[in-house]
Amino acid sequence: MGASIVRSAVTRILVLHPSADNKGGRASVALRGTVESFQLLFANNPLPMWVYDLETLKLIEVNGAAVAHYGYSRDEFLAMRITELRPEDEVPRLLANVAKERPELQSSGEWHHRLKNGQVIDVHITSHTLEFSGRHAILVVAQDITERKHARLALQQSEARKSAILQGALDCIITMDHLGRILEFNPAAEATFGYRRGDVLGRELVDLIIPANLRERHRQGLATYMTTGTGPVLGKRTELTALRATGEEFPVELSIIVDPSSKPPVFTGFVRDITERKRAEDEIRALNRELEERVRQRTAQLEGVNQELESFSYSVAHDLRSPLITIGGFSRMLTEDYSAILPEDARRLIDQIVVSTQHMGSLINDLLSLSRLGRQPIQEQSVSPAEVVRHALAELNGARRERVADIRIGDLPRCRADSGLLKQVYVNLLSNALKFSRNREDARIEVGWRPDLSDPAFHTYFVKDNGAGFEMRYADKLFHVFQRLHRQEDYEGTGVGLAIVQRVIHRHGGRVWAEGEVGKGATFYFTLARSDER
Amino acid sequence: MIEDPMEILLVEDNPAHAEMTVRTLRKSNVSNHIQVAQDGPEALELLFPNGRKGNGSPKLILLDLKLPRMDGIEVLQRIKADPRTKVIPVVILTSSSDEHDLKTCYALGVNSYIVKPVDFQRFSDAVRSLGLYWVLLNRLPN
Repeated sequence: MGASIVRSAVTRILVLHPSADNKGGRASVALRGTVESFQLLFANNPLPMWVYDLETLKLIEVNGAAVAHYGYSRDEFLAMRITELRPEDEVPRLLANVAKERPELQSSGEWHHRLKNGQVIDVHITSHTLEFSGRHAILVVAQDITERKHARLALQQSEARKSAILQGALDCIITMDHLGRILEFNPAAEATFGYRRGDVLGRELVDLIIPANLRERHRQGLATYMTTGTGPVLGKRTELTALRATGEEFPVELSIIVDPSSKPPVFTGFVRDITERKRAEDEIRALNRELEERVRQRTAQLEGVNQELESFSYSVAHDLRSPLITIGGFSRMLTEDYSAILPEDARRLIDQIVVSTQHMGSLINDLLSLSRLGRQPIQEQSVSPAEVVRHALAELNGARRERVADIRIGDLPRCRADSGLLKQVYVNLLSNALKFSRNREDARIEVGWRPDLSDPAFHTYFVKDNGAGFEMRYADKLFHVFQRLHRQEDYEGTGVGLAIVQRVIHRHGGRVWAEGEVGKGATFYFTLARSDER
Repeated sequence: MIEDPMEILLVEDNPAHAEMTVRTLRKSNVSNHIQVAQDGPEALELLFPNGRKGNGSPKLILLDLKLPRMDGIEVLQRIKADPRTKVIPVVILTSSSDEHDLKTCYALGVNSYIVKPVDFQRFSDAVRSLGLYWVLLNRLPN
């Protein structure tokens, strides 16, 4: 075997190729002429190597590293031509390359080799012309760079991604070193601050984009971080004022992170121009104010109209009383003075006039109190409804001696109300309950409560009777003025009592509704704000 | 009637109401000497005759509030502001139950405030009892 030739070739590679592991000529000189040198530098070289005949392109010699790396046996190698080591599409380039005039030693660049198992690897080839057993031959050193290439590619991709993020980000991204100098300034930052990236890189950030009155704070923050490793604005959203190249100050939202792997630290700031948002917020606030003002005006107008209506109905009701007093009075005077000469039927007719004027008198009185309710200011305080109910019952008992029903008052929680008006509510509801259950032997009235299911700030109170009840489909009519669901002969009344209840509760911000069934009874509910006072 | 001594001055623009009131006062024997004025100026003329021969100060003035020309509040004010008339009891007899009117009248020193009941029975009861009290029972300084 032509060890000496190979030896000479290898040593020359070592001499001429200083990038190999052995450092230059001195080592090679020491090895020259030894058999071990062949073993060490070719046969045992950790890099795959082979020699091929430049004319036939057949492999003439191959080392152990090549056998190990490529998977072919030595014999298989020695039966192959170098083209067979290539993927097919690279063969023309290879042949062209081989045919070219070449220097003695060349770095042939990157190629692809195919292993025996079919896998294609990236290799960097260094080749050298030499004489081998009298043949014109080439020594090839193949360095597998697949992994290195992959790593480089991955790095490139990662850089490309980062760059894409920087380029495409809608927020300004500005990177700063531990001395406060700008390292990165993305296009959004350029657009927002009005500086060109090339002009600001390396310059101190504080002087460019931070308003003068905040610069000291920025410097201190940076100094604090450098000594303590913490900073007040790190990792948080902060709203600050920033400075454009034009000198204009504007509001920004800022978040800063520190790259933990870099030493000294690198700070990345994400800055969002919130001028528009602030403007929109201001606009919304202004609109809200305007809206509130309009609501206030409308409310005032409505209140005015309401008041007019109230005083109109008041004066109408009032003026109606005067002729009524006359009608009633003169009818009575007629009976008093002439009853002796009036026929029975005439007296009955006069009585009917008197009864009607009395009824109309009650209607007018109720209307007047309804209209008074609308004008009277509400004095809300914490009240105990149970106490109010007892006062209402006392008033009712004082007013008329009716058969008293079984009235049960629950443990009613306190609420916020005008106690006088709440008493009016209970008087009206209780007198209704008494009136409509008076025909029952076992008349029972329950004054109770339950939590308000739709609004926890309210309690629901109710007055329930087992009297005449009503048809549910007329439930909403109950609360209208002068609406009555029963005949006057059966149950007297003006139809104003529940309207008063509704008005009082509405003026307290509560709700009123009723449930009933003919012959079974009725329940009237209302809600009032709960009071947590004891 | 002018020659009669005036015991009660009734200021009432509604003749029907005036008739009802006068009738009740007569029937219950409170007084037969009742002078009716139909508005404020007429009432003041009766109270302050200005040199002409008047027929004395009444023991009671029944005053409606809603009157033509000069309303009852102003009449009340004049009566209570004048030393000659301020001791005369004034009872408002009105169909107004307005809280504001009520307060104003008491602030001006009214002696009673009655809302005319619609029911004639109660109306005449009210008139009778206030007549009995102020004209027959009550004593005034001479």
